[in-house]
Amino acid sequence: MKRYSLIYTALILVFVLSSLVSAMSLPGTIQLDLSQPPAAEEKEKDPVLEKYHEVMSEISISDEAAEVVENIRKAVEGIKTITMDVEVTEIRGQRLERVLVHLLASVEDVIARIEFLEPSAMRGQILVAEQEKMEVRIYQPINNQIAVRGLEDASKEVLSTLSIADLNTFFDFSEYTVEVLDATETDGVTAYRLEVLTEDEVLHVSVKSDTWFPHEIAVVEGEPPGTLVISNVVIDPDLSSETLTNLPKAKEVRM
Amino acid sequence: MGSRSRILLIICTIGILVLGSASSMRAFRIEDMPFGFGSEGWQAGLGLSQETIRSLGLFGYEKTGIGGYLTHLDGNDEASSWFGGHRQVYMGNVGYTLELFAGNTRRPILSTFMTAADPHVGAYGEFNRMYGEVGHGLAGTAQLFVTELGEFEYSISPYIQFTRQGIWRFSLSLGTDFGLGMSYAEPTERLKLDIMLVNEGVSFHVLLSMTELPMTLGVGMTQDQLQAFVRYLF
Repeated sequence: MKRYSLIYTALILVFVLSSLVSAMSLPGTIQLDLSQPPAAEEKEKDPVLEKYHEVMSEISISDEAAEVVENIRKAVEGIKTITMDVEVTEIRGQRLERVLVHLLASVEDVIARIEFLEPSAMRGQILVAEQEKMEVRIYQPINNQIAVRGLEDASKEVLSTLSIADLNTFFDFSEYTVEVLDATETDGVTAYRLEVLTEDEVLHVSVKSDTWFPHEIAVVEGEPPGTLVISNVVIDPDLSSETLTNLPKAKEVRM
Repeated sequence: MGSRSRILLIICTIGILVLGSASSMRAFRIEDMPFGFGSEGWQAGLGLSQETIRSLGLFGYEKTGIGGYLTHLDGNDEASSWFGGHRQVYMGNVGYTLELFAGNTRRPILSTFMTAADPHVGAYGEFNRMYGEVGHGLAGTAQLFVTELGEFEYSISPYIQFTRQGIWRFSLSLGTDFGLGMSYAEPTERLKLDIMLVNEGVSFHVLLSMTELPMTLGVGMTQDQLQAFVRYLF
């Protein structure tokens, strides 16, 4: 069950962090104008100059990546409501664990709703997290009851941790070393695959230029390796707080 | 530490906190006074139940408790009683129940309706697995009668369960007796009913929890007895 907790929290983070996009500005990327190196150095071919051009070529790749990263940030910025299907696949030893959920969220109301579709051990469960009420309500089909849990214990620390952490956005990769691994154009839409290097993991982020919303994030180096596939993204659908918090009629059990 | 590392740290922290919330506990104690009329006349008594709920991660919880009642039949010196201790665990779409009990009435139907029996000790177990709105399970009961004959009874009940405007359960009873059963619990569990066909005998029990009053009303009917109950909760 720990993995479901982690997945849930990861999804909540996606929601919460994306809500922070509009409130926080992206730190500026370092742009080095190296297009005009000193003329005196061009006259001689020394190893330093060769290294200089090598670095310059790398920076030109980073500029392309920075443009993609900026487009991703702009795509996520200002989202008020969102729905998406999220498939999380993790490789744990010999096992391949897969969870498929339908995520609905309102940034304005700070409500997230997660409907579990797979695996069968979780199918039918609906989780609603309301920050304003500081509670999580989980509909459980097995006994047709709603388990109500306060976030006082867990969430206080979680939220304070969130506020302490200098997090711009879940989809903001501008702080990391980002490279464009490949870019393929089909029917006027360019599909990019970015490699994001963090301190302890390597991510491959896939995004297309028609939406600039990442549709796959793969942890290629790090624990646990796996992928997070986002599909059927609908931005700013008509989602009321009532819609998000509506659960099947059932007896409530407060934990 | 980079932001993404902090994200991982936070995710792990949340996971630990969520799992750590397993230590949170909530206890309930309910006393009630059953008063009713059955095949052996009027009876009144006292019921007691206590239950503790403990979180098991985010998607699971455990209920442990004891419960039972002691009633006195009008015009009869012998008291009727039934007491049991139980443990229920729900984890995602999987759940199980274990219960040990003793008494001189049978395991009460809908936790209320009693049928006289020889003194006995017994155990009840249930495993339940849901797949969204549909599920199945297996329940079993074994009773050893504390009599000179030392009679033993058991039943195994496979069942299927639907969640549609409440919980519907259709079961088959195999073992010492053969039967078919159907039970229903309204979404808020205010209304519960149970219908059984065992050894060509039909039984029907319905229980209604009043919303405005701390009271439960019940009517039960079998081939040879009619029961009506009022349980006042205090």
